[in-house]
Amino acid sequence: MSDEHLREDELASAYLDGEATPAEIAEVEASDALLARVEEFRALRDAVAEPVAPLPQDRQDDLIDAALDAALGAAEAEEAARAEAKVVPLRRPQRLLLAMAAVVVLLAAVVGTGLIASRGGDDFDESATLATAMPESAAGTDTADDAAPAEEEPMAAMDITTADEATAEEEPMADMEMAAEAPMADDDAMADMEMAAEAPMAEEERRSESAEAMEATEAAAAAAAAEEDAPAATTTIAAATTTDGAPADDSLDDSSEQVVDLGTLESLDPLLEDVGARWSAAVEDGAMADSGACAETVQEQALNLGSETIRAFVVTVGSEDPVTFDARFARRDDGTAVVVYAAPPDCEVGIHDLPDS
Amino acid sequence: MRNDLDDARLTKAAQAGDRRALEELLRRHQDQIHAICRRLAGNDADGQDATQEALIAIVRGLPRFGGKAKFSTWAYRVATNAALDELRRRSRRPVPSATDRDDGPAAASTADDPAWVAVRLDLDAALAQLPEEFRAPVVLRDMAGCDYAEIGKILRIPPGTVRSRIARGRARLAGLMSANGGNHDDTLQRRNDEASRP
Repeated sequence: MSDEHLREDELASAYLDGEATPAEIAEVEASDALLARVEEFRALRDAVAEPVAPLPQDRQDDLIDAALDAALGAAEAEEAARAEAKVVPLRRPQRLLLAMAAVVVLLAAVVGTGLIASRGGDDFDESATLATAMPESAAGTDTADDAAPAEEEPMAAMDITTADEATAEEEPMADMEMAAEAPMADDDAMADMEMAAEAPMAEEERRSESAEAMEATEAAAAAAAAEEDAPAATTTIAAATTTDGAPADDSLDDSSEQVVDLGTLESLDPLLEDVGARWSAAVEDGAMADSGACAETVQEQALNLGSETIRAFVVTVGSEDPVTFDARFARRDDGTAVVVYAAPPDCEVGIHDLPDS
Repeated sequence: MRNDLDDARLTKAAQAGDRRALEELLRRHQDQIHAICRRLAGNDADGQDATQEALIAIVRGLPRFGGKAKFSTWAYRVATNAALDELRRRSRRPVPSATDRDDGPAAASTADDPAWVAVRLDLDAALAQLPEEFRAPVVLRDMAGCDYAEIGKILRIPPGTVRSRIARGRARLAGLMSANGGNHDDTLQRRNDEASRP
């Protein structure tokens, strides 16, 4: 079709829709050919506009009830899962940060060493939650020192939950959890994710070290909690389900649990917040119907990487109106690892290299 | 205007947790949401699936709806995306045969005019062949009655692009109608005349 034809169609169409300028109206009305095109378009418009037969009342009721139940039920389930994760927010002063981080990394490494090593090549079979809570303002830029005490300041949450892809529904999160926190300093506290460690450990040794590390964590947490002027930011790692979907037991060193190594999580914080913000905006203005819409794209992209190990997790950003999106952790044959995610509006895939992975 | 004001009030109430307000909001817009989904999806079954997805997405997304746009604009955008998502999912599934489709109510509404039924079937087929970028603005204009500015907001494209896409969509639709089902000009013209008769 020539440019002239396109222009004429645009004139006729705009005229029909009442969107033509006065000059364009005059031009159309002076041309028999254009007026004929207007009539042709009018007939088509009327055909498209032919009312769709409304759904029967009972079907309408069913759709609305199902929507309310599905959406509100999902919200309740999410709330229940969060409650079940027993997230323990801890607060501590700045001076305890380094000691605390050391304890957390140690604990993560200790637990992770056995857990991941024992999991070997199982893909899509664990769940874990990592939640970071931080001041609600701009992604990762507020300093903790400026933040009010936790009780007075609303906190946003960023959760990373690995999901069992074999079972579509959410598994109850459970059992292992550890809580620590890092202040939201300018250099950003939270962190890269790494499905931890390498060397296998003896079971008893793991139990012992895990218990010690947890005790150390709790002691540090208790000390931190005593400091009322502490900044409010929380990191929680909660383990979840086993391969067969059964809840993991209560022990920290359960070999079925997934562990996140906080030491490599730092670079993910701003990225995930940014992607979360884009999802939140897209869902808010309706550009995307559902933040799970890109799950298949993410999965396909992760598979295309040809990685030996792929872990599925979902990221939840925000506390008051959290938005959740899918992501994948993939480890390549050479040992390097990436996080795969997708962002709205067109499921634009991003692959984030985990440094030092 | 009154409707918009009521929508705003209902939206706030729904966001505050008033389930009745939420239900009223959904009921108020359900027919139009279904109409958009039905036209975009091309058949009743997919249209209902898309309507269901849209309603769920609206309920889930309502807490994040900031109220900058009209609720209807936002809801139609959700419905449009739900329908287009449904189309993409359908493109990965086997295409149902005509007998598998449940087009009863829509077909019955025009069953008294066989020629018009043929037009409707060809129109659905033509719309299904129309690329998304043209189909969505045409449906939002002709089915939902949105103006170009509103369509631009819904589809996140400039009004000038809306104008161009609607024109090109209609031109393609006319060509597809001719190619698919022969010349419906007489039927369309007759309906057109009947519609314009006082």
